Amino acid sequence: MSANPVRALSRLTGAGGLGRPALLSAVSVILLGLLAPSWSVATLILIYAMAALGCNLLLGYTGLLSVGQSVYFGLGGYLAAITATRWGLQLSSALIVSAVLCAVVAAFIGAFAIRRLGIYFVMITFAFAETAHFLAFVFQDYTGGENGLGGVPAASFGGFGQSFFIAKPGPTFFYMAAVLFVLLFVVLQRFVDSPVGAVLVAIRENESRAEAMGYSIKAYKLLVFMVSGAVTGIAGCLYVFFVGSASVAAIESDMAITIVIITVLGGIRSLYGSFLGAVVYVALDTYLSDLWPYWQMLLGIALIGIVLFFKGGIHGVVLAFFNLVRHLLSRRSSDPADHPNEGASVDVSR
Amino acid sequence: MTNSIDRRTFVQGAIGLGALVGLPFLASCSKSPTAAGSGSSGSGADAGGGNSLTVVALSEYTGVYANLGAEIRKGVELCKDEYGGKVGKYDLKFVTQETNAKTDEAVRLVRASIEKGETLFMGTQLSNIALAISTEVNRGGGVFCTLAGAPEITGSQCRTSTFRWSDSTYTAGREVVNAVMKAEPKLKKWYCITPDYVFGKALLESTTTAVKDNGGQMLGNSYHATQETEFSSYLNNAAASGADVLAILNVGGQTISTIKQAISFGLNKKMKIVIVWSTGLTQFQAIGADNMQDIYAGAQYWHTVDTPNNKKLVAAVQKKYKINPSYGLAASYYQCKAMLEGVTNGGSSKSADIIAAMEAKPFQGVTGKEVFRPGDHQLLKDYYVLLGKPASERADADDMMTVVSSAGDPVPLKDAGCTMVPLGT
Amino acid sequence: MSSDLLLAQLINGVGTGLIYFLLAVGLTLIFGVRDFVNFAHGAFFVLGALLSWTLLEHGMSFWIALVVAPLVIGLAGFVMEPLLIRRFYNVDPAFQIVGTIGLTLVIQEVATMIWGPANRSTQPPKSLQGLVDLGVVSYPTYRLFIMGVAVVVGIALWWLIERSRFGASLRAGAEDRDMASCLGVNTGMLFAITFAIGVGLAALGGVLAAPTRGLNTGSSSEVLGIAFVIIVVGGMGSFLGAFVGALVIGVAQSLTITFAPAYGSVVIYIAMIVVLLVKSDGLFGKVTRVR
Repeated sequence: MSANPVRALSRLTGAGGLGRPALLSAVSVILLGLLAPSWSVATLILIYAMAALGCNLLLGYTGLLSVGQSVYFGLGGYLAAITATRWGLQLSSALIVSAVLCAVVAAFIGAFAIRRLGIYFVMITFAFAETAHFLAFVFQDYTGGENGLGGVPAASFGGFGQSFFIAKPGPTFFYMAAVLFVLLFVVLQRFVDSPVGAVLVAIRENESRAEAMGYSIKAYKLLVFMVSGAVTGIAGCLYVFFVGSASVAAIESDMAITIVIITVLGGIRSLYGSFLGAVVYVALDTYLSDLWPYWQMLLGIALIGIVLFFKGGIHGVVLAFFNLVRHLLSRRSSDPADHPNEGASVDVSR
Repeated sequence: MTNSIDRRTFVQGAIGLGALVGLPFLASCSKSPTAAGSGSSGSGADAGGGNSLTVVALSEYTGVYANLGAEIRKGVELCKDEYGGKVGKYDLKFVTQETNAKTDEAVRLVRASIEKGETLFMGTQLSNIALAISTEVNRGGGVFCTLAGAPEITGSQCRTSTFRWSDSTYTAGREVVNAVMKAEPKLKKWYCITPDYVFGKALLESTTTAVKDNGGQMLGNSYHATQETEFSSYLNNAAASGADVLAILNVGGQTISTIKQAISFGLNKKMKIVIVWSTGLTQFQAIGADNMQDIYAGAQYWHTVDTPNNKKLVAAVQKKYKINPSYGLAASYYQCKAMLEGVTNGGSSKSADIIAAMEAKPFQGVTGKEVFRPGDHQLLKDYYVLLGKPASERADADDMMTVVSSAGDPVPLKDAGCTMVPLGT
Repeated sequence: MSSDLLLAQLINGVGTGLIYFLLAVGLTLIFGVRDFVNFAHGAFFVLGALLSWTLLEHGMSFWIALVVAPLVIGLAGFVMEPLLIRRFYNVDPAFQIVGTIGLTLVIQEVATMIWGPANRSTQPPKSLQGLVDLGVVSYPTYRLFIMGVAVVVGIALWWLIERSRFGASLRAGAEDRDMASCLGVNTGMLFAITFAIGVGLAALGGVLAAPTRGLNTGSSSEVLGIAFVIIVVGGMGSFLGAFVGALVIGVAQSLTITFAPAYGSVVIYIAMIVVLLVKSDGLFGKVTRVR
């Protein structure tokens, strides 16, 4: 281990390591907690960011657009509400239940959807989203129908009747959500940086070639579908504990479209884009909508702009800004002693 | 090529990140205070008690809810004008909030309001939002008055802070069926078209029971989806059933579509059309005055009801808005009055005292003195059954309906299933 | 279950299906020519309805509104295509969807600025009110009129695509753009006209549907869902597919309501999933081009 702290930091934050995503996400949530005007808004940002991560895995890394993420967001939420109110399950267990069951449902839906390409895939995810919405009414005794399911107790960690940590709405809940987010972000970044992730990108770039190279396309797609479903289910579970009740709005196709909008807005070229997209979307929705009722027009224009010109979304724009700043700053200092690692560069893009 | 960062880039990155994350919030102020702001002391069961009170009016102003949402806002404005900044010896402020029909947004708004010490809440037409708000307001120690229809609001999910202005599905179904079958005893066979959700089922249950109690027969029912717009096939089912009455149990825009399509199929000539839960004037205007002829409609409010208070309201609305008051407007105006009269009757701005006053003393409602039942906080008021008039009998374009009956039998307290959750929990 | 009811529901299903056809055919036309997935299609349907409401409020007759509203929307589409839509053609279908979702948001908000968020509905013209006795069942005159319009539009479109010079250029341009261009076809104008026709048809559907139901600026997603289900079931890009798909969905919906009313609106999605399981490109779909 080198005595130079800078070198140690560099090694920790090197490629493939856990360091950099951990640092990135930790710094982000800390800044979010410090700068956000209310704990509710900050928590909501993290929840939507998690949902967008799930969508991004499919869209950004595998090239699959799913407009049916509401199935898992809603299901995760309902599972949380049902288990918490009926069996007294705590958040820690509810998260596991949501993640696992949503992964199972994702496997089921995925089995249908991944057989098709392009618009047909999208339409199947949409059809399942509408069906899930309908089922929420069919099982009204469990979901409460349009009344929703209320009375969800405060989030707590523990098991078998004991809790060792209770997160009431406010700063405590935010800290808990922040820790969860950092963990999730690190795990998912590891996932996409792994050989599995590389195959997913290969599928996105040229599916037939990837198949010709011997990879089982269906298996990989199914896997990412399940991971995405689990992540979105976790987000939905957290959401219900945050609001205190589960409602049918979480399982509507409008929610699925919102998740896609956040994902694309933030930028599908990196996982961090999902966080940025959530920040911007929630900020606009919370503050701009009070000032101007037609704010969604800006959102629409931003989406068109992103699709046509700034494919990297907000993340892409920020990255370009960074590179510009760094370029300007490094031009000013020409002293070699200031650049011990000359040649190294930040590479947060994909 | 290494992918590590050097110190400089890291610092730049952190600054950049901070700027980025902070950017959207640059315009807004500091975090919402955890301690009270505008003069209230204590929270939970002890909330209120300051020198000023704030009424927070929540409404949905998007999409299908916009019509009613606009009416609700007008009613709040009227109430605001009437009180002019003071209620009793306390300062009075009004705040309007848009829920966007989203539960999480409504909950967040309510939490933020409670943190600021705002205690009087009213509005929302959506049951799921009303239920979520009810929980938050009760926990925070406020008062909440709503017009949402779900029976649970004053039933299994009742709360000390929550009061409901509108009659429940129990009352609506019964009053309408009783009035129609009394006026036209030959109408024995009924067929229903019902939205497939909890509210619809509750309305269907009360309608079915009432039909049977009156010696009639419920021949059948067609459930339809909550967003349905095409009712022709459901209407075919109704026509084929051989029923005398087509009972329409959906609400708002869906009722408008169902009636228009029923009329286009000529069903109004073959069957009696009965709207069990109408939203009143604006809905009838959308259907068309001529189309409403001979149609029965149950309503929470009608502007030609002949009472001194109603005449005063109609005059005030005519003066300010040049229209006749509709259900949403009247409902929100009276909810506002009910809470504010609770303040003056109780002589205190503490929520617990306001609630006690609302339970004990009546306020000046549509029909005169009206009171909330202490057991479940349901307002005991009349439900009106109206019948569409032919053009020749109309005094003006809005005078479309005759009031056939006005009565209100609330659900028996023992059947309501309400156990009050104490304030502050 | 009486055979009268069944027959009435079948006729109704065909009627609803023909209304759906008007909605879907524009969408499939645009896709067939340029592989462009237009998620803003529902917004044009709603615009047509709202525009007709405004025209009727200003005292114009239904017949004028029926012609003017689709023309105006079509013209708007003709202008929009070279300015904006064209840029989407080379973009990944997933991005086309997201981009056109953005376009829908813009159109929706602009429409709300003009018309407000409330429900609007119109009345059918006096001459079309009333019922026609079809022997077994009486059917509203206005709905028969819509069915008639749909059939006429269908035949006219078929003629346009299969029998006219324009249609020949269109099909050539769809199959091989560069070659068609070399042969002197003004592909740019072609695509602009096609887009204009597509959205004009959606607007026509809106004008016709407005008297039967209320519409507001938020209705576009519901309309879009139906349109997409139909063209996926029928096969994207296939004109015949749009027709058959629309009828299949309309009748399936109607029959489901007869036997199990509560499932009326979800059956279209289940039907779509089933059809896609059996035939991966829809009933008349061409081979899917790998994106």
